Amino acid sequence: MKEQVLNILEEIRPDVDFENEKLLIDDGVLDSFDIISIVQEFNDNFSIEIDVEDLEPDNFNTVEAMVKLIQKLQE
Amino acid sequence: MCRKRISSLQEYQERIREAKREGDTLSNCYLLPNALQEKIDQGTLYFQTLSQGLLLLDDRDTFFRCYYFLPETEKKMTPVALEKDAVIEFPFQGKMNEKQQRQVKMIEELGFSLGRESSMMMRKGEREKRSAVQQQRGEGHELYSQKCSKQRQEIQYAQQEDAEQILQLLCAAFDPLYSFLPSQKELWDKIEKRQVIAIHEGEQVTACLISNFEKNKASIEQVVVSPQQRGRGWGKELLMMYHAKYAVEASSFQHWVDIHNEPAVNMYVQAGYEFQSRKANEYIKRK
Repeated sequence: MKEQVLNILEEIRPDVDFENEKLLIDDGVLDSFDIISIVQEFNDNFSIEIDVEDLEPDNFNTVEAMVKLIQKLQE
Repeated sequence: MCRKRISSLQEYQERIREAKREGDTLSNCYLLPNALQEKIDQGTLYFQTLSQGLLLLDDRDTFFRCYYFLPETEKKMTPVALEKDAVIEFPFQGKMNEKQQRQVKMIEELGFSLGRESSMMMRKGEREKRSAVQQQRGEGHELYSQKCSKQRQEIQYAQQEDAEQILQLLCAAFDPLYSFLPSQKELWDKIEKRQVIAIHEGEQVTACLISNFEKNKASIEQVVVSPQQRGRGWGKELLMMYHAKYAVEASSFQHWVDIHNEPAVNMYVQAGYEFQSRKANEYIKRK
């Protein structure tokens, strides 16, 4: 799954080193406009619905956190 | 139904939960808690219930930026009445899928129509290495100043006293519904940070470029050339100075472009920019 998440993220923001960035939101690497694209792609590709309450920086600061969120919503 | 101010993050979440009680919703809302809190503190965030779902309204003084939470239903939406002009931004990747097309249909049923189609353009920063050396030596800035001064124009960082003229130029050139125009305070801050490059003819500002820089990423917010000065290459001059300014730090240069603005698209393509798969349509509704 991590690879698929990375592919989605790199398609949206090809200029970002997602493997190494650990504070994607807190450091302002991803802006709010990136988030909606990411949420839409995750919802469509993983058949989940990311809720307003899930739009927390901690859920999007790292690739690992995003994978964890997707897994949680798939359960 | 009149709009009602949202007074806390909890109230915002409760409103969204209510909208979702009837089932899955479609939304373009991408505001993170800190951005939401800021708008709530400023008293600019409102909700307005619809025949189905709700609209979140960010009051931008002369217009509303709208975020929707609409039920996934086949039932037709009823047009909404709003107190001001309004815009809905709709970001997507590549080509719209079926679900996104359905959202657009609902947006149109609410009374909005397509205003602008934008795409992200990007240029990698590696190309700037040569300019970086120039900038470190101070050559870049000198070169542009010299070239411009031959034509009685000077290109340099804007000063605080230019702010009013720059705002006038921006307001005359852009529809605020689309353009995220800076407030006077935001412009002052940008001038202070040397993020605004201006071309002067005497005391007159004839063109300017407003930029931003975050985490290795340089971006253009607006470029404007006064109508009398268009077609003389000032946009290109501003772009060259912008590239030189961020040459050392930026790993990429990117910004949104109206895909139907051919002169702008051509200028960026010539400067090495390429279209990305990220797109955004703006749907507008006049009062």
